[in-house]
Amino acid sequence: MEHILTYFIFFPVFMAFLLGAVPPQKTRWIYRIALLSTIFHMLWLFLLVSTPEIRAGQWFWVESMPWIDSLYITYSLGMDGLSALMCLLTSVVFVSAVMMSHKIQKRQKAYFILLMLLLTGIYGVFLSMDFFLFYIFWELALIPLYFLIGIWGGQRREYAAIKFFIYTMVGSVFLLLGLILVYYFNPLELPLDWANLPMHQTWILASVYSIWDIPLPVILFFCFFIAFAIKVPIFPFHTWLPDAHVQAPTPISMILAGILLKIGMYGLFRVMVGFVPVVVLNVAPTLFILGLINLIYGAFCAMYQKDFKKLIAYSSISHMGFCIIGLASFSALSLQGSVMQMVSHGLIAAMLFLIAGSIYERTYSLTLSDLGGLAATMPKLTWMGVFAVFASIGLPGLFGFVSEFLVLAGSFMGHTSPHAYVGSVYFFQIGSAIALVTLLIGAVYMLWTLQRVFFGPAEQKWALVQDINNKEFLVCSVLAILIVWFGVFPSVLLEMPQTSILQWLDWIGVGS
Amino acid sequence: MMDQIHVGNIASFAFFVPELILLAGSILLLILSLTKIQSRRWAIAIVLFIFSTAFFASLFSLDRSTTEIRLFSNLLSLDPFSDFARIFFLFSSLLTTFFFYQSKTFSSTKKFFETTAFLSILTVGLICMVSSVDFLMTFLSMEMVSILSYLLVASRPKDAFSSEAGLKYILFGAVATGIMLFGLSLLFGMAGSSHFTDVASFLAGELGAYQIMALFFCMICLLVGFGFKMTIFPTQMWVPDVYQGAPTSVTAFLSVSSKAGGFLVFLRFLLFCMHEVGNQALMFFEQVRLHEILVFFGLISMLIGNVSALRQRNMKRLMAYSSIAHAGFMLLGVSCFTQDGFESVLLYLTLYLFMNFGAFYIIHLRTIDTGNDHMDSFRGYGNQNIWMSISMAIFLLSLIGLPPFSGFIAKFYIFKGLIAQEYYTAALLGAVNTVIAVYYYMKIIKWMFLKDGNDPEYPRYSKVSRMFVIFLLIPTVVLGLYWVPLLRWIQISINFVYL
Repeated sequence: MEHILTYFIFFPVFMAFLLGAVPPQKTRWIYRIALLSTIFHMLWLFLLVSTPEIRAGQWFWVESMPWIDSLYITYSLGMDGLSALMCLLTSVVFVSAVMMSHKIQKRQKAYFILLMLLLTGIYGVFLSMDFFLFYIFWELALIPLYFLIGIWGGQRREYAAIKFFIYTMVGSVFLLLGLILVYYFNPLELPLDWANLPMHQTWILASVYSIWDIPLPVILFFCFFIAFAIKVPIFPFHTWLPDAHVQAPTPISMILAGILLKIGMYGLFRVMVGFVPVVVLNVAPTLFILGLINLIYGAFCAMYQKDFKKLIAYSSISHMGFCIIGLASFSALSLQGSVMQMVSHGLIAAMLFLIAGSIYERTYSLTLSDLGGLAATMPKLTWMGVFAVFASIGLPGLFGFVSEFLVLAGSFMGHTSPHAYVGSVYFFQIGSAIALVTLLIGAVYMLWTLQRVFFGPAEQKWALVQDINNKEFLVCSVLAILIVWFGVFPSVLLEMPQTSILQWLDWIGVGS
Repeated sequence: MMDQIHVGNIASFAFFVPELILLAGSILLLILSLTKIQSRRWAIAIVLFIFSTAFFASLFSLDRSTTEIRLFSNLLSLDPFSDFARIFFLFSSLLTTFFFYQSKTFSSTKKFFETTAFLSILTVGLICMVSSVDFLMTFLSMEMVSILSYLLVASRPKDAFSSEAGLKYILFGAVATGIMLFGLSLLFGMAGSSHFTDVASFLAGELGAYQIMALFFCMICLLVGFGFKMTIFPTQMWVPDVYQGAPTSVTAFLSVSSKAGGFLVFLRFLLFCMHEVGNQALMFFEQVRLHEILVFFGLISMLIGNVSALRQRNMKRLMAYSSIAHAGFMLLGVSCFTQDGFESVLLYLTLYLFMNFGAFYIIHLRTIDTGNDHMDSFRGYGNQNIWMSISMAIFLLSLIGLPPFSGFIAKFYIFKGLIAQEYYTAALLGAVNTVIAVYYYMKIIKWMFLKDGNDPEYPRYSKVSRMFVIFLLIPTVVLGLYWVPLLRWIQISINFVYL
């Protein structure tokens, strides 16, 4: 039990080896093994999460081993409410993605092996407690994705893959610089462990070092911000996302939108807020504006897209804006909303990409002007599509509403930080009002899309198109049930990141 | 301070065993090349025997790390640093002999014996070059290395590329040597001696403004000579043509050993000065602005290497440019002038040895498969031989500097050294260069995995080739996860300067 998280993280690698041993022509077996192992992995996660300690809000399942003593690098893994939440999202999205991978035929074995490696990388990011280890897993998750997009993607897959890789690499390099700066200036003989963060904040804030006359905390903020903003993505760094999401095969789009963007948010919370909370607080208005730009720019771009998948990609950018607004507002409610938005958008975006993928597999077209009238031949898919679109708009009673409501309510009330300047309350109130209006744009383009894809006169060319099969229906229903369930009873999830949120508020000096 | 022992000329031979083995071996090999031995198995067995005996002999001398032994009337110094160099070069040559064995160019036993004889003398030259503490000795052994390198590069006389490469190498080499010799004679004229001790104490003394100017010029001249071996800007021009024209095995050797030779001999000079006169040496280097020059040259080398590599389609040419970029990176480590910085260079060199040899070896295998060294030869390699292409991908990812592979650790320590010296701009530009490099390394990976191959043949490699790749792959992966023992050894080999 001591190394349970190590086993948990590296279980997919083990399964990858197992898959490697299966002869490649046994395609059904490969699919089954991959699916069963991810389901088993999910159940294992449920067991891990369902400890009473999660309510106490401590780190649990912690394991720590010395690794590189001279730099105080340790191999430490642990789980807290936030990472548990992220892991749960990962497992659900991953099981759906693996389930949707049954149509992959080209080099199927390699595909599932890479998926397993990706899973290890993602869990590693969420469960590592040491900064260095975090970085290694962060990069590890990048390599399989390059291949997954590049080999199994659409027409322009090579371009999309290399663009994704280079963009993320830029982020990684900044993360690396930040990491080395922290390691180098660290005066404490303590590992850079998430559990030690308050102590590290103290010395970072008190440090007199400056680089190009910019104080160390600000430099660190920039390094971390750029690193994670590319992944989220935040406005000027977002251009990789439409390409990658559109070109990736359906299951990978689901993973990209469902999990990979959240890795960026997780990094912002864990590392950026973790190391330099005060700087983040001081630039909160700027962050808020960036979030608003994301929201509005993403929404308008989505509105003008001609391609269904691209539209969803831009709507992802738009929805991630809520996460940023929630983070920037720094009130208990908005932070909670931000974390919830990560989960809800993960589920909803995965479902939307699934639907888009299913449409493409049957009609070989994602051009919105081309589609239309699918409701006649695909009633099941249409129902699911309608549901996903309403969830995405934020219909009350669905999960999207909960998170967006929390973010908006939180930012409207504003933070009561001692650092807040006069007028900042109005700033956040006006900002959240603008964000609220943006919801309307979201409703407009989403409903319009719904109309253009599914409704309208039944067209002759889709007469022979088949409805979604049971597998797709099952995955859609599970996602839909989760979206409804957490839309009605969000409290289960709401209390999970509670400790982390209180900690963040404590760090920035707001207190509980 | 370490104990210093001066050993007489005859007694010195007792400490010179690995080199003697190699020299005797080279004579043996030259004689063998005249005989009619046709069995390649015997040939490789004899060669491996000679090189591995020398290698193990060098390992045995490791235990006297508290003394510094001066051999041959104070010409060579045996200290932890030269131990490091010795083991590094012998190991690299050991790998190279195997590489030669597989090379088509050296497929006749006669040619193989001749070439390995050159290689063993070259290795002695490299070791002497780095252990030398007298500029005369440094220069002589550098020439020994250079001339034999020219021979190795031009070892395919019927191939136009190879001859052209040889000629270019000689011309550039001659110019670099001339410039360096000019600088050395200036230094000799001022210091009155060519021994490092005298030079160091001269540098530490009171220097007039004109002397500083002359010394600045000397340093530039020296840097031209050493930089020619290091393949850094402004003496990097020969690299692409020579690397492309030479047989792949020779290219691999040049890109690892010859480059390491340049770096280590330069480090030897810097370390020796610090060892002898301590901080005064640092003050001198600051006076002649060596830091700035090195940072500048390093950054330009990186930029030239990476940007030129972007559009290369020939694998060897691409790797040549990439090796210029890596040299620039290492030079940034040298420019720190701290213990951490120097350590990071040695670490980089060691890790670079494995990954670069690995990448070149697979390029070599692929050249044999397809008959050309164009990037096109890697098209669809992932479909044909998945393990070899995964290994190649790992070597390339390691060259990019992605964790968990060892190239990341190399870069990590260089960055750490730069940040410790507050060279933030250099660190930032280095980081930018890392991103540029991603493009061309990933391009090879793209050709291997993302493009479908058009030739159906399925290359199978001998067990020995596969073992060799695994042998290089293991350190590339393992040292990326746990590098402490290697780092400790490197620290020991530099520490004595700072004691």
